[in-house]
Amino acid sequence: MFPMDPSTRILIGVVASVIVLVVVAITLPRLIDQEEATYPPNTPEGTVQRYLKAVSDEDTDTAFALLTEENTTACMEDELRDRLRYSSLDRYRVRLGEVEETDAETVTVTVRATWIREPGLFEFPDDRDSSEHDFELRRSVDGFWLIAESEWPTGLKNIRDDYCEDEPAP
Amino acid sequence: MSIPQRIYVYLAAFVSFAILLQGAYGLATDIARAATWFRPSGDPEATWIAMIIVGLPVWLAHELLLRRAADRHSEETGSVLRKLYVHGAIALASLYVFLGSIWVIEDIVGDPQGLENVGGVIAAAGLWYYLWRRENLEGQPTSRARTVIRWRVYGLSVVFLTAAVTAIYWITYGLAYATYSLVFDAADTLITAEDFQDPLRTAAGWAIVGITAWAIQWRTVATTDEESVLRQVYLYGFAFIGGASLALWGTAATIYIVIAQLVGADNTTTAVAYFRQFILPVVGLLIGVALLAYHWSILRRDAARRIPSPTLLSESSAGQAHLSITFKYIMSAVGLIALVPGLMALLMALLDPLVSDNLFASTNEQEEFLAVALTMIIVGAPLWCVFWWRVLHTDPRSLVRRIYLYVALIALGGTWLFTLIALLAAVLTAILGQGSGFLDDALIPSLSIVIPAVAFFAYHVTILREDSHRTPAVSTEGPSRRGPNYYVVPAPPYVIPEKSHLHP
Repeated sequence: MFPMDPSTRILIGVVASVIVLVVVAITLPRLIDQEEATYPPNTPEGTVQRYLKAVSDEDTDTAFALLTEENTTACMEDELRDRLRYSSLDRYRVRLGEVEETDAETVTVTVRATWIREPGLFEFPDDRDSSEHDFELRRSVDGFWLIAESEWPTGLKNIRDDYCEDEPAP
Repeated sequence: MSIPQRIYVYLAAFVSFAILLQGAYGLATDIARAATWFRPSGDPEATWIAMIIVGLPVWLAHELLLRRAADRHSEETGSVLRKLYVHGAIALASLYVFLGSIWVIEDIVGDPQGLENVGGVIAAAGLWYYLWRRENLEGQPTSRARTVIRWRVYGLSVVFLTAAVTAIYWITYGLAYATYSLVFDAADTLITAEDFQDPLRTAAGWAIVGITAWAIQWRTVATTDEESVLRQVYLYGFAFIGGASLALWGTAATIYIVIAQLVGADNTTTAVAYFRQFILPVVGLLIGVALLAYHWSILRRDAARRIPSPTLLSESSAGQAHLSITFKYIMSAVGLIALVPGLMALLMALLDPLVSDNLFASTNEQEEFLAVALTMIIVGAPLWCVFWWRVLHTDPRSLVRRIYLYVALIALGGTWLFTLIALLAAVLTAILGQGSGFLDDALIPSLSIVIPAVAFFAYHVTILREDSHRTPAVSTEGPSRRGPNYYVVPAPPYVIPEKSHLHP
């Protein structure tokens, strides 16, 4: 063995630790990007998940199919299509919160959305970048759950009240 | 060559070298990209070619002129201007290699098809090697030349270590946050973000290249450079104060989170969210302590290696002792800066219920204020006590002590003086009937500020008065306090008589 003073040993230890740390950070990507849960489509959670994925993919048709009747006017569709173009969820991780049953036909699903910052040093994920949002769902005649109200990410109520108030629901 | 001529030639050589370096880096990167079989690309950018066409002949002409001058006149080899040019160019090329290597690592761990920066790194490393080789052949014949080298070494060490520590901080935090979320956050994921990996890849590049470059710099030059005062400035001014600041911040933030919970100022709704707050400060604390520990081991090793001269204290030893004392005064000042405002805030929070109009908009605001005050006191009081106690009995006439005391007196005196004026104005406003409510608003804040400020002002005045009556201790700040003291015997102010004068 080469004779080494304590500071040299510490230095070697520091460099080795950094390399191990970096290797761990690179080789454990699954640790960071957690698997998405899969919910059955006929559950409130499944509807919210599919809706969020549709918004993320800018898939207006799927998103539109998951809304209740009063949200499916032509005006609503046009406005929603515009908004989907600007409401990308690429940088969001959304987790399921509470699922509260108001009555047999209505359920409120709460989600927690965390905005992952743009890549950069000292851009830490933070609970302050998280927010909770409610989705109000109603059971349709064929037993599926559809979204009646949600402020985030597209602002359904806002579209209906401020942009499409004159257009009657079909 | 005259001085203006020399300045012109060196400046022109440096600027043309910078142009050549940028052009060579860009062109080599473009060629590497075009040559990569994964990703055929278009022609190299014309700007890089233009930069080389202009930069290369201009630099070569000036470089050859300067080489000839250095070969003919030995004093030119060790001149400060030449060393500034050579080491400025070496530092610039080092930065290109450093940044290029980061991008290469980033590409390796993220996008293996984008390794074009390898070309740029090779080009920059080639130019760096030429200068480094030339510099080694010329040597460093004068102390001023060695000083220029030290500026480059310690300047780059600061850059490399900052990059490495920042990246390590990010990676550790990112991993701790993700692991914590994975273990304790039971909520199911509905959708995931796309690119959470990107910051980790970037940080990985910065960490690997930063720590390697810093270790090479440190091991090859700085570790054997104990006599350099610049090295001590780096150790105390950057590594020690930087590490201490990070550790202090981590400690303060950890204490604040605990106190906020105790006084009811914490706004988190779940235990998982509450404990997640500890990750960032704890990581900061650990990295700060690691920085301090490593550099502390360096200082201890330096002290063990240093053999005190039997005749006189060397200039560098005195400089190192001075830096050590300065570091203690700085830490003492940091403690005082936390302690006194903390006491003011605590008084304000405690006295607030005595007046009818609350100073705080809500109970939560008051609780947060109280938590901040207690944190500042808990962090500031031990820091100030420990470091102030260590410098209390040192040389009372030293410049750094005088600066510390007078700055403290000006800050504390100015604070209570201006606060007293505001309080007096409120009292007079009430007496003269020019308004109402001013006294209620001003009384508690003013008293909270004035009481600690006056107390600490009076204490520092006492210290100053005691100092003026004390005899300065000889070399109590010196490096060999545990051993015997050595004194520099001044040259006699009289003429020593010759033998013939004694025996006329």
